Amino acid sequence: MALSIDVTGDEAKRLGARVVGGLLQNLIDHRADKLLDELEA
Amino acid sequence: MSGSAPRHSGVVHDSSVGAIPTVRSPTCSSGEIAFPTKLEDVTLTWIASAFGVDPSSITAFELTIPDQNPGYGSEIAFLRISSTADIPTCAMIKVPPLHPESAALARAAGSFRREAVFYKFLAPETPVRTPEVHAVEVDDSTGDAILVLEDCSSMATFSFIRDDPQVRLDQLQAMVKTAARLHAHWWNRSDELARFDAVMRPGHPTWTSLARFTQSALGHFLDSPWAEFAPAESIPTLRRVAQNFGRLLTDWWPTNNLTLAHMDFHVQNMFYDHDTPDDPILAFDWDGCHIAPGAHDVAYLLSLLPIDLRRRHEAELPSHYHANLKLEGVSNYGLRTSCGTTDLVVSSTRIYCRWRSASM
Repeated sequence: MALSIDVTGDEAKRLGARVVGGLLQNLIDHRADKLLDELEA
Repeated sequence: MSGSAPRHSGVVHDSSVGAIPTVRSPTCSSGEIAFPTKLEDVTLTWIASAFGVDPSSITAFELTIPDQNPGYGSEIAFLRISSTADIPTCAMIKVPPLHPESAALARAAGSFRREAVFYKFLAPETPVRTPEVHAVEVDDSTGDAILVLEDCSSMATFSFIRDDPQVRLDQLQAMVKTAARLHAHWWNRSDELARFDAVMRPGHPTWTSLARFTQSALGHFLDSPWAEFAPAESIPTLRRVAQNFGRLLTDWWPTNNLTLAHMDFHVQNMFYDHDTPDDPILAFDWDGCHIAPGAHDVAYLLSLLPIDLRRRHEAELPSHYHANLKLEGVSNYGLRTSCGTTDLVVSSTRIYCRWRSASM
C-alpha cells in the first residue's frame, strides 16, 4: 500500500521507538498478563 | 491559486516542502453531482450552496491542500473565501481519502460517514468544543461525505512524536475535563445514540469485524520489523494479548456505564485555544466515535504519551477525570472502575493494531 512506512528510516525508527515502545511499556507497567489471567479465569 | 474573477475554482498544493504543481479544476455545476467527494470537484457554486448564499456573493476562493496530509482516513484542504456575504473567510474542507485502498477501508469501516453523522447530528447537542460545523453532506448509500469545518489551524496543537514542546499537565487536565463533560452528557443514553446506526456499539457488525481484523493485524505485527521496537520482555504478554484481542473487544468489552466515547482521544486530535483558557480544548477526528466506556478515552490519551510523561501523570489524570465526571452529575461510578487496567490494556493494544494496519 502507499501507506507503507519505511521502518529502516531514522524518522520511522524514532517514531516506532516512541509510539510502539511506549504502548508496549504500558502493557508491562499495567500487568496486562495479570489482567488476562483474571479474564481467562 | 488566488484571483478575483468570479466562478473560477482554484486548488493549490502547499509547496513549502516540495514542489507540487498547481491544479485547476473546471467549474462544475451543482447539478452534475450531489456534492463533491474530491477536493478538485469543489466549486464556487457548491461553496455558495454550503454556506447558504448566492453564488454571485462569492468573488473568489482558494483551496490549499497541505503538502503532507496529517491523516490517512481523509483528504483535507484549507478554503479561503472572498465574499460580499456574511460568511467565514476561511474554513477547512474534508473529503474521503483519495487512495483507492484507503477509500475502500473508510467505506468498509464506515469511518467517514460516522464522522459526518457525528458533526451533523451529535456535535450540536454535545457540550464539548469541536471545530464549528459550516456544512455537512453525507450519502448514506455510499458512506461518502464532505465536511466544511472551522479552520482551527491558528490554534496550538500537540504531538506525541515531537519531543518539544511536551504537553503540560494543566493541558492534559483540560483534555480529561473535556472527556468527562462529553461522557457525562451521554452517560447511559445508549438507546438514544443507537438511533444513529453509523455510531458503533458493542455487537455492532463493524466493531466485530474490526475486532477480528485487529487481532489478525496484531499477530502480523509480531512477525514484522516493527517488533524490534518492542521491549523483549513484552513479547510473551503481547502474544497472549494478540490471541485474546478479539475477546477483549467483544466478550470482555464492558457493557455497563456506557457513553459516547471519542475512541481516538489522543493529543494530536486536539486543538488548544489560548484565547479561551476556561474551555481551551477542541476535539476533532470523530470518525471512531462509539458507545463505549468513557474511561477508554482517558486510557487512550495516557497510552500515547511518552513513557515518562504517562508514568508521571497516570495517577493524577484518572482522578481528575473521575472528579469532573462527578461534578457533571455522574454518580455511582467508582474511581477504580473509571480507568482500570482493562481500559489501558485495550486502548494500548487497539492503538498498536491501528499502527500496524496503517503500515501494512
